[in-house]
Amino acid sequence: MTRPRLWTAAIAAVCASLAAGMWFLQSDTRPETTQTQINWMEAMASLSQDGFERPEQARPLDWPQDHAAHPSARSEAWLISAHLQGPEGTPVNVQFSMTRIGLVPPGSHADTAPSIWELRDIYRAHLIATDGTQGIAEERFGRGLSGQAGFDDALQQLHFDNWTLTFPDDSPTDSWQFTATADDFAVTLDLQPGKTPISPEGSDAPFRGYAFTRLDVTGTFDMAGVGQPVTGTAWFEHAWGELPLPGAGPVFSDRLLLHLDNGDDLSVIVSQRSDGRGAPTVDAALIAADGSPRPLGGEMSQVSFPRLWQGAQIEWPVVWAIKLDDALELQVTAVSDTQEHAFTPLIWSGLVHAEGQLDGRPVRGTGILQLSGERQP
Amino acid sequence: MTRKPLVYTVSALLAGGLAAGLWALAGLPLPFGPDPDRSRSPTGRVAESPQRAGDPQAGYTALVNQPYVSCGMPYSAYRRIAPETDPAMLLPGRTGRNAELPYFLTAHVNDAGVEVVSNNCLVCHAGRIGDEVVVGLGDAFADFTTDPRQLVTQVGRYVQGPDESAAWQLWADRIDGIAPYIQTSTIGMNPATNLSWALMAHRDARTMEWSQDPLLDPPQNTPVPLRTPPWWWMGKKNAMFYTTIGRGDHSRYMIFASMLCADSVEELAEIDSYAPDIRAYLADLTPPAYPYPIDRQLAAQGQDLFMSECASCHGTYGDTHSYPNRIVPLDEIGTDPLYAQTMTDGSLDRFYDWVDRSPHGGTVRAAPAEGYIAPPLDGIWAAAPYLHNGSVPNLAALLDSRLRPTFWRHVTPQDYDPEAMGWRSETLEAGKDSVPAGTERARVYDTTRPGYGNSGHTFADRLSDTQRQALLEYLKTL
Repeated sequence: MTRPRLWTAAIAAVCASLAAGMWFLQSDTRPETTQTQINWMEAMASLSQDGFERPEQARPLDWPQDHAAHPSARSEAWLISAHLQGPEGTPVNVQFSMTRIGLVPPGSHADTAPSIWELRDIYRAHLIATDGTQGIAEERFGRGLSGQAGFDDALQQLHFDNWTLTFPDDSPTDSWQFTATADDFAVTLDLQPGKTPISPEGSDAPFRGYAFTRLDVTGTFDMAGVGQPVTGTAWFEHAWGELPLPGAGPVFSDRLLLHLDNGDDLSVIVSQRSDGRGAPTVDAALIAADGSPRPLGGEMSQVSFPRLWQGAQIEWPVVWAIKLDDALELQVTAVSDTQEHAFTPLIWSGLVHAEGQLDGRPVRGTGILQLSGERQP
Repeated sequence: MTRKPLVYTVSALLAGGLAAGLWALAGLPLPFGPDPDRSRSPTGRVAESPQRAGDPQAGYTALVNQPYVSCGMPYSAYRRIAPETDPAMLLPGRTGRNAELPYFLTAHVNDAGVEVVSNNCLVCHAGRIGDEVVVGLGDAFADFTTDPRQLVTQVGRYVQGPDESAAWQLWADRIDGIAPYIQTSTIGMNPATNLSWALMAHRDARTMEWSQDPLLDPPQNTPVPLRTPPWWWMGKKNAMFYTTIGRGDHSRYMIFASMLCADSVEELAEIDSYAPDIRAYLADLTPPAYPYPIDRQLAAQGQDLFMSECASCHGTYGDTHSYPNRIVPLDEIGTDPLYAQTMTDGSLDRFYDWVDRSPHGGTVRAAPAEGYIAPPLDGIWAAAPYLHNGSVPNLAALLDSRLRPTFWRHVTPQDYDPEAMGWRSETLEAGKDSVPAGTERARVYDTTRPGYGNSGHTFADRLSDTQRQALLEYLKTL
């Protein structure tokens, strides 16, 4: 009896993050900031191409193998967000997301060996990093050729140029490594899974996915020539299959990921109609310290936005007030309002703090808010 | 201002009821307000009203294939969240796309060429017994405790292109309009009555045009708990629903179920063209036979008891059957009064007036009684849980009020208990407040909540255990 609601919450959680990962597909005009020129209209057209497989739901997921790319799936997305502190308590956030769109399904040119120059996938990656006062945000697009972007099976490494997330071999105790550099910026993180992964197994969803909702993190964060050690937690998600195409339909979603100081992790998705009509819907799940998920919001959910911040084009809801059932009440506030990023399209994605009550006890949290750029200006 | 004198003239010339009917033809609110006498029925016997003839076979075909609920989710989006249909969910007699859809969904292509999938009547009026889908069985496990807008949103993520989006938006608008009024607190409870009021609140009675803002004060948010009765009782009943509110042409009353999407009088008329066939099919429905052994000798003893203790309200069965169509007043039946009181305390009269003003006004009438109809008992073994609010989990407890649990829930997976005669349940120590919000709380039947009481119908308490056992055995034969 509990499965349908868990399923819904988990699906929604994965959907929303993937939606975030695929924003870049919604427009056929791209800014010149992309490092690799892609025929985006051709890419979009290819999305209707047959030959990709709907993921097999019955197969148990297996790590580290399932960290890798699933080329038979039409689309795929990875996301990691680290919520860190410097030595002085400075809040630090590092987000890295990468999306793969399959253009040519595996085996479609069985009569000839595939050329290394053949365009089979396209990639997009985002890197966002901030220490509360300054930050960087960079978006890259690539064809996945010549090792530029993709998942390297030999190295167990997800990479886009010099942004890499490396998974351990079969050892469950080895840590993951994330490294990235950009202009005047470098970060190195060691990530140790702190909870068992959750996955919406047994669902009829057109995709598979899983989340490591809490990893313990240590590392170094170097911004504008000033390096500092950082510690904290991170959230990782990965999904593949027929992912929703944001901007193609009538719904957009905002996402909140929080690590609470009692050891629970919270995922909240607020979905709204693009035409502005109707009431927002809320899907939420709390992942306990032992890794068990608890859906929230079934009987009563209220999310309001007490304060908006006017960005370049859009008023962003940078403060959230959340009430879920009679269990959770939180006020979520952006660490800084100015976490808008000129990606394609414009998004707001950044560090937030939360404070409130869970099951009658005070609770605080840190995480990220990802606000969709599909909302009306 | 110009209408008022005309109304008075007509009223002076014609009897009140006829005047109301004529006024309804104009689709206007009754100038003298809802008439409580016209929209109330006395307890006691329900008089028969003529029904249009129909073809039962054509009725089944229409029931499982026609798009009488014409808005829904784009098929392509539906298939992304539900790629395959469990073969056990298929029904015979379905054609085209419907042949591959679960029994509770119907597909059609809308005017923009988008294939749309909609819920049909069987979402509430079919249930599983063993491996079989039984058409007409009220689903005791239907779950209306979650916000339907979440499903709408989930589907919306897979909708693509302007035509699909427009079809989805129409459906989403309607669900958004009714969602505040159809969320029950307990699995198995049906919100259809509150849904009807909510739809009427959003529709112009004369044109059927939808208004996103309510045109009438909407009903209360919380539906009064109701158990979906079996369809196979309809052939015997002279009025529809527990309080016999559904008077007149039953097939037209049923068409109100299409109001979620039917946006014009013409669309209603099209549905009306096959509605008598559906009604004829329902009137012909027979219940499934009791699937376990029956002690015929004990059942014969039980029949004698039934004739003396039960038949005056519930009728007789067999070759020379009869059914008295009797509404039992609240003070006599003693079951939870909330539903009948809510229907007759005047708080819903604006909707009864809406029925009068609707295109079907004059042929149908909303007139509840302050009591509950004593239902036919055909297939009563399958109709658990019992009483209008489903507060008693099995027939053994219905015949002995001392066995009725205050807090209980069905066990899962669904399993029939042939001794107690009901879906197997377990008694709980405490009610909903003791369970965290969510599915587990929704499973708890808490008879201390308003409308959920399990009192009344204690007529068999005075019988001995042996007599009650004989009576239960006889009920298996119906």
